[in-house]
Amino acid sequence: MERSHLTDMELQECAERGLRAVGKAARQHIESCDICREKISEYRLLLNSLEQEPESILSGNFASKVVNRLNLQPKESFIERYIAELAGAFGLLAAIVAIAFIFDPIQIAVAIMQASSSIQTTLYQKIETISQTIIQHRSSTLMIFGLSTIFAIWIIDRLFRRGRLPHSIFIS
Amino acid sequence: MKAISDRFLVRHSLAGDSAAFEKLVKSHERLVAHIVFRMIRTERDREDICQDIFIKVYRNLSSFKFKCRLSTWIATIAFNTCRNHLEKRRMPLHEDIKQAGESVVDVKSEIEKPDALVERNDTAEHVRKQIESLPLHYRTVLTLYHLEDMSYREIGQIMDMPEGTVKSYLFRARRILRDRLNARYKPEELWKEAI
Repeated sequence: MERSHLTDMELQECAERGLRAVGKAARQHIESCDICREKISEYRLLLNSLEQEPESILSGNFASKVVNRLNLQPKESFIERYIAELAGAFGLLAAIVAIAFIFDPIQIAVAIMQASSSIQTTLYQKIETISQTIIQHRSSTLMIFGLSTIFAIWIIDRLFRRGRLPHSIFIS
Repeated sequence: MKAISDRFLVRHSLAGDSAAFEKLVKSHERLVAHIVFRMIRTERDREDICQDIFIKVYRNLSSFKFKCRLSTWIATIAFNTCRNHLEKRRMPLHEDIKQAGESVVDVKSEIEKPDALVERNDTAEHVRKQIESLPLHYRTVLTLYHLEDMSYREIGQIMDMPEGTVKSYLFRARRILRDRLNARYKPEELWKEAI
């Protein structure tokens, strides 16, 4: 039984995606039907026109106008931020030194040395245990080390390359 | 420079970086202009509406969680802003399809006019004019599908309607436009141009 004309949806699918968009019977029908072929051509012409850019042009400095309306302040520079961070670190150090001088510096030094010697002993024991474990499980350790390296690189990348460097380097 | 990701631009815009937000506007202004120019007919309102859209984008940027593409999210804001604007002005949002079909009759009468037979380049211009007279949802679906290469799903998200409805609107809009083209041009002329 011969197939009737293609539905409008099939005609549009054919015009948009080619003959593969419809079944074999429909394809055979198109080959022998001038009416359907003509309709597909009409749709193709229409689709070409639809894909042409309309006249929707905004002014050249549109983006700047929007930013001006928002009254966004330019971001502080990379150098300014690091100077601020350095100043913070210096301030912290100065505070520690000041505290040390206010209280008895010798007593503080003795206390620090005692604490460090006990920490050193504990650390030495821990390191020894860890080294033995590493020797026993070499392959697992290697894998953990690899993963940790990747993780560290990712953290550095996020902190310094994407997050902290001035945006203007990346934005032309 | 497409190397800059949407995430990068969003993060820096949220940090108050004006250059990043300007870049974000530049990379999406074409999309917004397409939607606004198709939905809003009054020329003098168009650029202001485009600006309002990007201001809304900036103010709501912190709520964008990358659950969809940034362009889809911005297009949703653009569509809703235009719809609100039209509602405020009491413009019809759901024009009657019959009304859209009626203009076919008007166009048919042009066949008799000798200057109605135009050159190939004018076909696109004619189609553009015919799109203007389509109902709002048809115009928007055509714009997002053909100019922005958006999927039915994305268009459905933007316009808050099921994918099936989007598809149906698209096919019906194209059917109306084809009928209008046929009414304006002799079929053999179209046939020749299509080849």
